[in-house]
Amino acid sequence: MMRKDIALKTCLKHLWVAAIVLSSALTCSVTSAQPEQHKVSSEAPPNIVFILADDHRWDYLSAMGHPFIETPNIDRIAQGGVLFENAFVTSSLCSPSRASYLTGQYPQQHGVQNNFTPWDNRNITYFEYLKQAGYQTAFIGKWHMPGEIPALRGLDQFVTFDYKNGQGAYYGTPYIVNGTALKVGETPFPGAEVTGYITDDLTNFALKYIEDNRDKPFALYLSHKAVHLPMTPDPEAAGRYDSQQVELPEEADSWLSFADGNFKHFLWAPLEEKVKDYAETAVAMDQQIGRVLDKLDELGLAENTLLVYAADNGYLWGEHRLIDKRWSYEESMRVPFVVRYPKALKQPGRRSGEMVLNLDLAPTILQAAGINIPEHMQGKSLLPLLEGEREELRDAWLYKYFEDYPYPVPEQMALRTKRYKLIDYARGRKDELFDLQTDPREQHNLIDDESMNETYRRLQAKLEALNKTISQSVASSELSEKE
Amino acid sequence: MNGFANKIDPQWRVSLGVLSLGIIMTLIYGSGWRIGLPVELRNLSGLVLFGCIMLGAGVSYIGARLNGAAPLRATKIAMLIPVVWHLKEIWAASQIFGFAAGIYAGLQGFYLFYYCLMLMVMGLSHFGCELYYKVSIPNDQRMWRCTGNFFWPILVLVGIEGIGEGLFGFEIFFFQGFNTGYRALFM
Repeated sequence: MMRKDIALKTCLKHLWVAAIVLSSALTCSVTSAQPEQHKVSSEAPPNIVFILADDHRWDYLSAMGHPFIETPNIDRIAQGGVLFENAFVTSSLCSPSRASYLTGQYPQQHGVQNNFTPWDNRNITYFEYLKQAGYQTAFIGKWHMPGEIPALRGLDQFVTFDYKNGQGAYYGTPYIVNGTALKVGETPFPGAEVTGYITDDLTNFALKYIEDNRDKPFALYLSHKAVHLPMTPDPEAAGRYDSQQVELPEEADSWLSFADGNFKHFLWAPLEEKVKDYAETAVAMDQQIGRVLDKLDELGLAENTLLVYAADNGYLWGEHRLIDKRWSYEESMRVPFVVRYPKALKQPGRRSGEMVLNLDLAPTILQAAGINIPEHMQGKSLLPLLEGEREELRDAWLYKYFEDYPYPVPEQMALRTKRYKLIDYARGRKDELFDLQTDPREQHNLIDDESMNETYRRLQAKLEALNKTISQSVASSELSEKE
Repeated sequence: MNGFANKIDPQWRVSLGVLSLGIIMTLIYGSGWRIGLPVELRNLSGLVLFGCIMLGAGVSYIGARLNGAAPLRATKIAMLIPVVWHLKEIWAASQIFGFAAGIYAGLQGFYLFYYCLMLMVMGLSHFGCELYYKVSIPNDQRMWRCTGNFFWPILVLVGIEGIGEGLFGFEIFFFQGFNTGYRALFM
């Protein structure tokens, strides 16, 4: 019986390889794809698990030396993978960033720019290519883009919600399965428990999906509501940091969530208390991420699974007297980005200082699956970095926040290089130039410093050139000039 | 100083005093960190500032009434703080979104509810004044009149919002309704 099973599995494995080679060839014939083909493509296709958090900023990880937050499971991914310490999103707002993860494109291309610009279902997500290559595909969790929930091509399972304008709620969210609305408490996956707490529920669905598809190559996109407002931890994590002393940035104070336009973000509590809620909610999510890791281990899938943990944007906790995201400051645009891929990875536990972007996810996944990266994708595959084949990924990149009325944040573009950041505000605020090497907290605006004139001109020229390039109708990759 | 104070209509003195206090607290709260003021002091100034914005109208109303203003005039005087704060918010929005969109930003549900809340606070102050007069002036006939007028606006607004959200799942004054108006006007 066992021998028969093994023979069947071997046969299936060969069939998958044949199917992928065939479909890759077909894909090449209908798309103008880059000729770059990765060596892992000839082997069994890896499973892909992408876990996306909401509003989780880069340094709220114990692996990043945070003074009190405990994230042992995200750290576990880092210990077996690569922790990218300089990971960013090209627009620090949920919807544009999520669309970039899916499409590998800047918001200027995929068109989801703020709360008014709906998802255009002509956009091509990485799921389409994976499906063509024979993958089982599932999106589980928060979609949250303007417009109706689309019938996304390339997805077998699309479990999401539109409750509370797509934000969902920590408790009592009714789910939607492939367009069909379920009642509160109904499960999209028979056998997967609905506990009521959204992070646990989404994890339960994901675990069931992994179990059901263990014998096929699968691509799972697990998109959490956590740690977004109202930042509600589960009962186990709630109160964990009640007695914790929270140090706010020197420019911040306890009442910042009520000041100026900040009250529109509904934090409405002393800032220190919300920081604790945020940390506890992240801990609750981390525990659930641990269950996913355990399941992959238990089923023997971890070795051949590309696992990525990231966030849609960061979060300001009083830096620059601001809260929320949107701004071009580091706390807002910088995200955790951890990749584990035992099959291809050299030196697990490594940290990389290269600047990686949310756009890089889709090309990385496609290349890992042995699929050619389509030209319209503007990100770059991280596989060469994972394998230690390449040290440099990019020297500069462009950030853009599109006006999102009525949130009191001016439209802005920023050029981020390894050393400098130039922020160009559309109006309402003086442009800013920071030397990140000497001023990592971006406290000293050098825009009026005459000694920086030449640097400013160079950065401004590059910002304009980059903006022009990535906004072209069929954009090419980033500029290649060295900073 | 006394000469300057004497030139100010007594009915306006409390209102202008609260406004001045609010401006000073704004400076300490918003910029104190730049000159190294301790966070405890900045937190305190934040609380006082919040008090000025939320209770200033009520205190100003009492100040005006006790200096002889009729309810309607006292209401106008007490509106100074809410109007100045609201204009500051509109000005801030105009810097970011331009003049027209900035003015429209001032129509967000937050501000409408704020005005209603301020009227309610004035209503409570009015109630206190009437009670004071009733106790201190025997046989006074002005008692309790027009107290209810201060509470109608918030009841109407909450009622409309409740109907919108309860029956249609649509926020009339907040995000959805406000954004629908924005799309119609500016996009």
